Amino acid sequence: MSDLQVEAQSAQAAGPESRTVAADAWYQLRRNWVFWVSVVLIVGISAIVLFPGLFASEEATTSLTGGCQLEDSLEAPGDKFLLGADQQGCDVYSLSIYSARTSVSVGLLTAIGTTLIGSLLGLLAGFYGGKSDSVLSGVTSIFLGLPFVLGAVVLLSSVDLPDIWGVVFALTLLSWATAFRLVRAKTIEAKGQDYTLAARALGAKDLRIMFRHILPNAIGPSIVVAVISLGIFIGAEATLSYLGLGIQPPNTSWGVMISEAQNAFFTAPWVLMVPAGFLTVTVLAFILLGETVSDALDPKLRK
Amino acid sequence: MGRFVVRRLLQIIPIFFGVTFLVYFLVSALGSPLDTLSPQQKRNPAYLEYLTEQFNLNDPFIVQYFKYIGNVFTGDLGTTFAGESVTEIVITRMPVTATLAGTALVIELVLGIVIGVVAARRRGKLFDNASLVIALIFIAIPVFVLAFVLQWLFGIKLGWVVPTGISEGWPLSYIVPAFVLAAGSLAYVIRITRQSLLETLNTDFIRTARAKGLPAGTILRRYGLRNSLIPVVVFLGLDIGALMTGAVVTEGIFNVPGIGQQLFTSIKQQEAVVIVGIVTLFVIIFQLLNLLVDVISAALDPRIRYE
Repeated sequence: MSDLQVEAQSAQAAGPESRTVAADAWYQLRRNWVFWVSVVLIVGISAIVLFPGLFASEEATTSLTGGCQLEDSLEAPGDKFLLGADQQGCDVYSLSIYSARTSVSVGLLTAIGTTLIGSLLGLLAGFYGGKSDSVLSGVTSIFLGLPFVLGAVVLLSSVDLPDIWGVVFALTLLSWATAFRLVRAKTIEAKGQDYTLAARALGAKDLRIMFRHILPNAIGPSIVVAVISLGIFIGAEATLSYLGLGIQPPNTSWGVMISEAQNAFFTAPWVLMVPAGFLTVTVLAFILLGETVSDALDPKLRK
Repeated sequence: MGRFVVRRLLQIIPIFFGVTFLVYFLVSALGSPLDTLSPQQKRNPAYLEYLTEQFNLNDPFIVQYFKYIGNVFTGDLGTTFAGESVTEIVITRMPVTATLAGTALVIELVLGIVIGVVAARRRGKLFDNASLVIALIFIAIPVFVLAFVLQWLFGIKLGWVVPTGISEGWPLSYIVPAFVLAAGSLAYVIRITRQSLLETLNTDFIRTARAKGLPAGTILRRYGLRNSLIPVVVFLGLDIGALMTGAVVTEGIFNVPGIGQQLFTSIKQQEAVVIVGIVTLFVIIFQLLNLLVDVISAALDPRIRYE
């Protein structure tokens, strides 16, 4: 939650005893163990993404330094390989650790991209209304009319895009509409509120009203959705890579690993299950975090 | 109700043109389908000519689009390099996909609503918590991982079904792929039913019904469920897109010869013409099913009709 929002909300609060929405939500969250589980998982995943060297050695993921030996192909989990080896004889655990960065980066960049584009357009459309609003809302229904993974399949199979940025571009282009709808609705709501009228009466310009008064009050739900969609985008990247349209080898992500493991799955399930496990836990962590925060921010669900 | 349907049909028209334009924009405005060809395909003049002709690549973009949309209206979704009509392929494969999707829908609705209702009635108990945890795992696990795991478990380890193909017919060959396809949505149906029923059971009219002395079962069926299922129907509309994506992966892995499997194979073989044709068809089906869902929710809830 942004400082702006906290500030805006504390400005509204009356009396020293009352709590802001953010403080109230935090009070709820602190006692929710699901929230803490997701936080711990996300801290762990972030550590893996930022410092993979702490958890595994890069040498084990490539044959260039003698890490992968063909004689170890599909070696079962045991002393030599904690979670087994893949077809090339590479350590599946180390590969999964080093694949985390691509998978999470794609999810994170896409979540940031869709939130920025969707929120900005939603803010403008909701604030100014009129023709630009009708046009943008019409465009939104078109984007919502195309299931985003199918759209990405069409784009990535017919246009030659650089792989990581290509996937981010495709997913962002096709899924900013949700954030647009949320922020637009909230902006229209906030535009009629007394604090916006007060700011205008004090002579504030449009830009100041939009970014200082409306946006902090309108962006909350779209940030929550961004956290949940971060998880969903990581899954979407895996689906695209599994279909051979996403990340291309030698770059690696969990989706690429799963795609390469499918033929060996029945004889050596660990080759597929290990990256799939990392993937599922990561997606789950972001969805849980988003949902617990969203529940905490919703006064109707308070007990 | 009639006016509502007409209004909704009229709204579909611009969206239909918009979405097909978007699909075509993705194909040829940002680059050219010739860019993604494999080296062998690039050296094959017949293939280049075929693609240029199929996508009208020599025309300006907007002309390409109108030629494409004209073909879609006349039922022509393109021709494969081998000379088969995509429309015909789709028509032959449609019944298989419809059977699979129908089975999946029944699984997600029946299981989802039953589990959701039981969870709501035993709020906070073991069943409730267990079903919520399992639902979350189904939401987080990618379709293709669940597909491989269940294919291995039921097809190989336990040997209850043949792991791939539809040689055993319905239901034996369809049940596992349909469950895989339904799993993610099933999880949402459980959660939405539970949440919505809990909210409904907290309202004044339920309290009144209780005060009148109606039996608990009647209250649940006649008052509770009826008012709780609207969000489930709305969710189904939103979820059709995810089901279509899921069908591609599920049919591909279980080798179910439907439209999804055709798309799966075409993606692997980089057959852009077939991919665009099938995705266009999916978009049309998506719009029509959404219309159907809107009509159903309007029938369930008069407030939607008069909005």
